[in-house]
Amino acid sequence: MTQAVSSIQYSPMLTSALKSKGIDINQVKQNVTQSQNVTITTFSPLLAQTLLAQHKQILPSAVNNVDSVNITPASERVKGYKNNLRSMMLENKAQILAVIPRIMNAKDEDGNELIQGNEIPGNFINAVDRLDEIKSTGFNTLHVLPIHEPGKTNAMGTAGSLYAPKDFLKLDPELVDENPPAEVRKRIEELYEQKTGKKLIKMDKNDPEVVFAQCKYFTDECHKRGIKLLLDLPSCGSLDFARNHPEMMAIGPDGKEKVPQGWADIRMLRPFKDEKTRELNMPVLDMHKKYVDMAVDLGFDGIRADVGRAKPVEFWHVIINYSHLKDPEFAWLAETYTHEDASPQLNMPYDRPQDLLEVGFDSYYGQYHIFKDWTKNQELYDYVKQNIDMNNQIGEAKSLIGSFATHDDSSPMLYGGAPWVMFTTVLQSMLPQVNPYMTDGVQTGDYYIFPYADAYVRDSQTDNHSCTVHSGRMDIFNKSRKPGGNSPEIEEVTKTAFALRSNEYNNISNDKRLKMKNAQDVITKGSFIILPTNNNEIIAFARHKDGKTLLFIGNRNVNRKVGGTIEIPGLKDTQKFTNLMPNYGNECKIQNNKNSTINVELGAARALVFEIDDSQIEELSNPQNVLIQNFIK
Amino acid sequence: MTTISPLNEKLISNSLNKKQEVNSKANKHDMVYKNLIAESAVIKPNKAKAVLLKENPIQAAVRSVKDFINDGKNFFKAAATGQMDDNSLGRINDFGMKFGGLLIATFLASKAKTKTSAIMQYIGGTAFFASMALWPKIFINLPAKLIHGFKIDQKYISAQGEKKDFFLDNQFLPWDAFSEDELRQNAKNAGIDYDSENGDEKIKRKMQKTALQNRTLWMATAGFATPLMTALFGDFVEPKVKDAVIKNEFKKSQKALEEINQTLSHAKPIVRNSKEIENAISQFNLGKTSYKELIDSLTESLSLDLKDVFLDSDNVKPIKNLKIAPDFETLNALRMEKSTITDANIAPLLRKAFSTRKKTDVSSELSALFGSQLQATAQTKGLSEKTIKAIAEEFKEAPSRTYNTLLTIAQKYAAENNVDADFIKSRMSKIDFQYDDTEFFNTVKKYNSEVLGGIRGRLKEYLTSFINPVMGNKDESVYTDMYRKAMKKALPKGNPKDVHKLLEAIKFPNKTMIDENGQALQQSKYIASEAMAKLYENIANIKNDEEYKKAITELFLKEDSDVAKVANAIVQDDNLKKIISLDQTSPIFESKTGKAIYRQISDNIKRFADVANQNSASIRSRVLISANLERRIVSGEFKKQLEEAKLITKETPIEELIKKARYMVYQGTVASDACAMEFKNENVYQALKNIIYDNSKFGIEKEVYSELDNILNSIKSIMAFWSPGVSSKDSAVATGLTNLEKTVATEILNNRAWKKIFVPMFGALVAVTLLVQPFFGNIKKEFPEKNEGGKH
Repeated sequence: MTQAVSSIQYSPMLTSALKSKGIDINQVKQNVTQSQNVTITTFSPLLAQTLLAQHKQILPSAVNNVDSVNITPASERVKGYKNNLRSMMLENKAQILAVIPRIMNAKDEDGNELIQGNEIPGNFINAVDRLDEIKSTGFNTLHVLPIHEPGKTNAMGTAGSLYAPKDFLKLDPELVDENPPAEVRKRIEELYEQKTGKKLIKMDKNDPEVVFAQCKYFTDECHKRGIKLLLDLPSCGSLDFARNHPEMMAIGPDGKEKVPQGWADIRMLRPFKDEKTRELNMPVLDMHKKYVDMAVDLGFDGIRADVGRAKPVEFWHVIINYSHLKDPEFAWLAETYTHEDASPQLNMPYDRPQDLLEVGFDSYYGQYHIFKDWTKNQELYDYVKQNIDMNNQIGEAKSLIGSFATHDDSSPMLYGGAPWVMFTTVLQSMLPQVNPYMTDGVQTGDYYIFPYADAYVRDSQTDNHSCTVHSGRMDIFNKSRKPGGNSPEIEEVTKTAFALRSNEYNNISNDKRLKMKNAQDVITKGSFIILPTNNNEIIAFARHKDGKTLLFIGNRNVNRKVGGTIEIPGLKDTQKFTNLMPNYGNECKIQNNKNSTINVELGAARALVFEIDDSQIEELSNPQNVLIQNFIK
Repeated sequence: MTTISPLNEKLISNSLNKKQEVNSKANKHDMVYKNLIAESAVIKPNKAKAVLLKENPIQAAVRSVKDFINDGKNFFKAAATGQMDDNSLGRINDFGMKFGGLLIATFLASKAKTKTSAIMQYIGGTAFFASMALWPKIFINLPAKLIHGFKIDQKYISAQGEKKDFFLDNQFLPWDAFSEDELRQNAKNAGIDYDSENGDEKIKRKMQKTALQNRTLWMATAGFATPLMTALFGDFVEPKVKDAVIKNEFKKSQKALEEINQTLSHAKPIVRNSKEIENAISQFNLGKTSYKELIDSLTESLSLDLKDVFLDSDNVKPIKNLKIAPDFETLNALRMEKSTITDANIAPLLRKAFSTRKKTDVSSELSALFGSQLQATAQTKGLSEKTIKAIAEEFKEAPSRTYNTLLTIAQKYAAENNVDADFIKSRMSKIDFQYDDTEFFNTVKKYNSEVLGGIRGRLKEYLTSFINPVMGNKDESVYTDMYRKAMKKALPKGNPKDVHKLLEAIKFPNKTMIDENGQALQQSKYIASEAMAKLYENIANIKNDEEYKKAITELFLKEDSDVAKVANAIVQDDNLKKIISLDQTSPIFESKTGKAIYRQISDNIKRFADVANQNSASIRSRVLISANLERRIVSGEFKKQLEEAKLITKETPIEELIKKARYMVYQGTVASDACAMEFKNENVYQALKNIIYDNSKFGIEKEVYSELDNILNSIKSIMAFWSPGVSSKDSAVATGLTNLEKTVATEILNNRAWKKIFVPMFGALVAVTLLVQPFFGNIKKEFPEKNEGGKH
């Protein structure tokens, strides 16, 4: 671990904080290596410098003794498993599927799409049955939407909103299968006993430890398949929570609890004890510390922080660093979109992605969910540039998820059907700095249209008998049917696109061969080269690394085919074009003009990927068109 | 690669160093956790990208112009590409309004009758937008700043670099743009203790609430305030615009005078040219005929057939050798293009044309053609060679003259020497006298018509543009304005109702005024003059001569008013004088055409100048005479004079005479008959006139305006108020004064009526707007004061 010392990167925000105190970070580093004395007694403003000054001498033994690196309960439980989600996300290698355990593998017997009566909802146990399918599609990470028991008061939907936790530190008993198969039961009993030191007598969903044990079973099964897990941390508490924890709740000057605009079922937390002095509110902080403990113990590999801006950078500094103490590879994904001067939501702080990334988040949502509104290719290029610029400004790798459609957005099926989903899937799998992301169901074409929307039902687990639904979006309010649609071709395209970026292409493709050896490197670390076109509906770019080049050409128009000329600097006259992606929709035509340009005719929403022999493309392109994300070496 | 916060690691180390504390992993983690919390004190969010916009009024004005241009660019960009961000989209409305306003103003301006009203269309449009901007600035934002201590029109630059109103959307306020110090200062200004509990929230809420309430007030009042302010501003500005227009017009008129001078000096080369031609002619030595005569004859020839120039065209044959030289064709070609007809190229060409033949050549040729014949004749008839030579010498004159001279000499000689005159005549008839000078004449003719005609046209144009802005009857002339101002100044400051009646009387001089009981107040004929008499009431009542003098000087002759200066300048103008005194003997006017042109120019100038002088004089003298008359009436002196002249009779009682006197003074027009008609007895009229314009009674007035002496004499000698040399048709100015009175009265009336309604309305609006503002920004409900404990 001594190597870790020299490779340690100081958080950008800490660096700048030290700088603002007039502390030279290089000097600090030097001190770290030279210091022999170790004494800390106070936490003065020069705390950081003092701490850093004592760094080197003790670290090796410290690390060894504390077991702080890479030794998590999860890796203890699953042999050979090692969390590397943080690295994966930073290196753009995560391929994420957002899942909701309570609907993930629900059994809707009567076809009304709502799980009622004896129908079995999704739970930790039956969710495992879907893991192989998910894995085979190419996903290597699950974004597990909140698994806490929802609040019941003033609730949204009959099951309660996933983002209205009744208790942050307890899981939803509804996710328990009280009659799991014997083999599964046995494993759960082991897990139960490990944690409590007691034998499991009854698989009672009301025993919180049973829920924990079943959750661990689920996470372990994921890990066995190499699937990483991001646990969704809600930003607010339910009304029930607020009632039980007034010390944690944000109160407006009017003496009333703060309600985030548009979400009457939740209440804002109060991260600061004193906003003016920016002194943190310990109960909230402590609860989140425990939450991290819980997440690590359950086997989660990272946290997706809902509404990241709801807490300040000081808060995240503590929590994120604390999590790294337990697991340095613990990943943090912030739900944060774009820099705001003022929040469009009442009682909600402004969005500041850069702050959150600098304080320790590894990845963020970004704005790809408005891609459908970008009618010109330049808008996409500009956004890619904006993010790469921010990454390079921060000074270390930070990534985005391919947030083309999250659970807060309408299903992409509604915008342009399966072709559009396939187009955006291939596109996001080829973009730089992006970890592809999809919500469960979209991979087979779910429109998220539910016949029970707003229907009144007698049996409700909340005080609400109306099936609240955000039509067109994943149902986070009710026990819904298993997500999925009728477009298996999307899955095929997803599989191919993900295989290409995971170096698995030749393993899944029967008729096409990829010549290059490490396509993953090209896609996750290569330069992004904008290729000039004369049609701004054509998105054309190359990914290039170490002389290897992949070419993306797509028509963002979902309604008609488009044609145009694309300039590919250094293109060989003999270059042939074989689309590495599955074909769908209308036929595309490509003609090599033998003058470093090609003419294309692209069917509606077609996305094509080619391997081309063009080692000079980066040098020959207009430097302004070449964007390179800097990574820490 | 994995990273750990170095701090954690050091903290762990530290914990290890204090071994007694490190009992378990959980303990270590807890310790690090605590240290992290302490460490978080040095962590601060990045500085906001949004910043408050701090600019002075000039920068703000420049920015608003830039914004307008950018809005325009964005508008057209959006039209072309369909792309526009929300902020720009929101601003399109602003651009559309302004651009549309400009178009409307342009349309209305094109329909405007006067320059002032055309300009006012633009000013009105601008004033409307300015009012829209200024109303909140002056009556809402500024008081808010003064009352509450912070700016509610604060602008900021967003993270995207767009300039926006901080309080544009009251729900979403980018407070980050404010530094703590700025907020603290605002709190201090607003009387809030920033360090008290929720102090920061309080000031933010107060600002938010105040801004919202003030902006609501703005929206509620803008609909009334904007048009009212625009109208008031327009009303305030219009006279100034009119002044500026008049001054500008006057400047232009001065320029016109310059142009006249320049045109005339431009014509001077003709004079020089004439010398050149004269030289050429004298070189040719056709005689001592001056250019003047030549031009005369040429000019005459324009209307006469060439053959008439010569006595007997049938007998006059062309002298082929004198035919116009080929170079004249070049001249001919040149003159076709007006621009090339310059003195510089005409002179040499003419010279060349005439000097093609040397004198000697001509003489010898003449001798050859004619002399030999004469010689023969002389020899046969006894003419000596000397005589023949003398005849040939005489032939140097112009053809016609030569012929005549020759003939005369020959006939004389024949008579004296008993030579057969018929023989000489018949011999002479054989000589080809005629030369083809058509082209030369045509050229001159064309030159005259084009150049001199052009000069004449331009002069006329310049004179018009000189005279109209100064003495024209139009609304924007210097004299109209002078009178308008004098009249406005003279308005009595008495009971508004009376003033109103007075103005109405002037406005409708031929309308019978009805009193409250429905009775006709006065004969309509005198009503206007009676009303106007009131204008002089105040002055007439001044008994002290010095004070009186001061009053009339101030009222009508104040030299410091720009218009008065301008008016004075006109009659003193050197250029004008120069033109008026144009030397008739100037060579340019030598020819008949020239004379005609001169007449036109000088007549016009003189007439204009006369009008100018008289108009100026009449306005001044009119008010002085009026004041004088009224003062005499008040003092009883007038009555005394009437009695002395025995004019007061039963038929013409004193009241009637005063009415008539006033009528003559105030409503007197060019047509003297109009006044005379008032009297059955011409003598009474003359006697009354003599009393009114009695030179000896105008001592003080003449001290003020020395010209009055001449004017009074002139008035007495002529029936009309104006010079008889000026026909009523030509001198619209003269008749215009009566109309002017009406126009000005109407103007004043309308203005008063308008102001009576809208000024109080605007005042009330301002009052309400200002008075409600201290009640804004009350945050007691949101931040109820805590009960600090009552009495026990």
